[in-house]
Amino acid sequence: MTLSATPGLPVRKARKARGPVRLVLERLGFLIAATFGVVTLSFLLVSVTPGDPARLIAGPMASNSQVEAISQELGLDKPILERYVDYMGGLLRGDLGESYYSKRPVATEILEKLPATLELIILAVLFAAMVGIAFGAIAAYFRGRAPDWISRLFTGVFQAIPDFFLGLLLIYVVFFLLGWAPAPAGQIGFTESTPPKVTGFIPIDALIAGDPALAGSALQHLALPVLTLGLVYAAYFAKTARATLGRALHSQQVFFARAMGLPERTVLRYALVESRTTIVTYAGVIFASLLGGEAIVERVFAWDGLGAWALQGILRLDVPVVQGMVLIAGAITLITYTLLDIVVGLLDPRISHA
Amino acid sequence: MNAQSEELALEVRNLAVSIKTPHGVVHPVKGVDLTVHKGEIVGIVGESGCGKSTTIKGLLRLLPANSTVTADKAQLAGYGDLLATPVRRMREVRGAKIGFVAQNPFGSLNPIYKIERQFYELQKAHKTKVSRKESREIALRMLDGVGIVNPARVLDGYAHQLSGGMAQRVVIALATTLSPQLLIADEPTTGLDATVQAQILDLISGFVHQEGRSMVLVTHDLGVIAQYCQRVVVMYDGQVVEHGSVMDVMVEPQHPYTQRLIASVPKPGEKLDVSR
Repeated sequence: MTLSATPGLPVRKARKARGPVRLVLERLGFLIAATFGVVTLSFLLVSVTPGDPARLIAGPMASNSQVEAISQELGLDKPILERYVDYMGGLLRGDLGESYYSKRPVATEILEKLPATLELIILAVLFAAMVGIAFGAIAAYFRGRAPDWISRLFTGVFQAIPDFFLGLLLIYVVFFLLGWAPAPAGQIGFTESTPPKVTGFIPIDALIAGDPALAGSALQHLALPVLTLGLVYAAYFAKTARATLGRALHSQQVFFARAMGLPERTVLRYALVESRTTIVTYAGVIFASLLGGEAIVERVFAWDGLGAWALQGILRLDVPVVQGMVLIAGAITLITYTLLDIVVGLLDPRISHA
Repeated sequence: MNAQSEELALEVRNLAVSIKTPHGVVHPVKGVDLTVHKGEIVGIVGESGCGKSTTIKGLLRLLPANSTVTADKAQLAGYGDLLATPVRRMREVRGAKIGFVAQNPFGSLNPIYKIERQFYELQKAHKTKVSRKESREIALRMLDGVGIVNPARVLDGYAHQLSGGMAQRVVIALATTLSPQLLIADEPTTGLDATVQAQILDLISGFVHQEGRSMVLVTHDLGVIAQYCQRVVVMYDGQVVEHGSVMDVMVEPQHPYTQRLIASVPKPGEKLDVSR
């Protein structure tokens, strides 16, 4: 069977994939391009910022020739374009360079530190979303009445407190005064040792190693940092949920739902499904901003994660570490946003059918 | 054409609404009387902000919590006094005893749920037991009844996939699914084009002319009143300024506001008084 009715006319092929597949492909293409942009930008920014890493490594007593030797060893004496080509070449092979101080591959260090940070921010975002949306929903539903005032008071307070300060406050009250939480000494206690690494997430690894007591201890150590970040970001969630749900509750579709005699919980659900894409988007944005944004909280709790590691790298002008952090944070952010686009497309028929 | 009787469907005496605002108490509706006989379409006409919609929302008890509705009487035939019913129990009335059709059909439908789901939620809310299958069959019948050609496809789709006229037909189907004896339509054709307007109004008035049903039609279109209503209530600044049969009010308007309102309707062949 020939498809072309008119001789000489090329057969038309379907040029584009459709629906969700097309969405994913488009997003993936964008992801790769954006990652390239992030890497280039981070390389340039770190390279042109003032301060000489070689001099910092050599210390204040070093002579100029010593500094030059270190500079040569690190390849800092080469022109910037050559360094850029070197760096991108290494990147394609999965080589992010070596830390100036620990002399270990940056990629290895990232893989070591990432699980600790991920478990912290994933749990914090989950906690914040659950508590924040509940408070925001109550405030929106009872707008202008007592529950709204109470909810907004809490929201205002937790939004005003810096997260690290709330961390210190919680350590003082919950650990020092009440003794409910373990000492803020990292993921596990001083006397405990990390379980054999399987996933990198200590509570899960401890369970795999058949040590429920250690898993319990790891979860207890997680409680305060998660609470710190969770409470602060719950306030943001509450604020967003109150605004979007409030709008949805005053929408015509909710009025019509009531006029049809639907029960209040169904009416509330009608409002929630209308506003859920906004709230899910917000969760993604918070997750991305927490990655690296929680560095000071990691410091406060001696949490051996990516944020504290990057913070140290920045203070020591450990260029490969800083670049590695920018790259991984950028990549995870872009992946989060990509997933977000897909999830929002699935949650809202108006988008996936458009 | 319609079996009009002396039996009352809705009798409202001296309905007033007051709303507490930070700037003091406002009274958007001050003593409205409204009588609807069985088989009758009563029009409420008036300019924007005259209290038409607020009266309706007050009757359905759908005003925000900072407002108070009072009336000497708000008797719904076959049920009782609407204002004497606790707000909690108003749910039994809405949808089942009084059907409501709002303006802007797109806004009325839930944007996320499929149309089928919206029929199901409505029936689940009012009946003790209804299966998805029964609900779908009823929904198919209702959509067929409002002149939708491919009901199954509409049921499996979403609100944004419908045209304005189709969406309003779906809304009417929802409002009449539980066969309420009284239908309230709040400017049901605003925003629809003229031919669709006529179709929609024919459809709703057809529903009313089935035995014993009645309707309150809120509009600012005197043409619609003249064509579809038997009696009319003219509202101005929260009060009823004139009421009576459509013929009387149209031919011999008594109140100056009604006179101006009727005079403002453009007539064919009339020269427009527009300064250039």
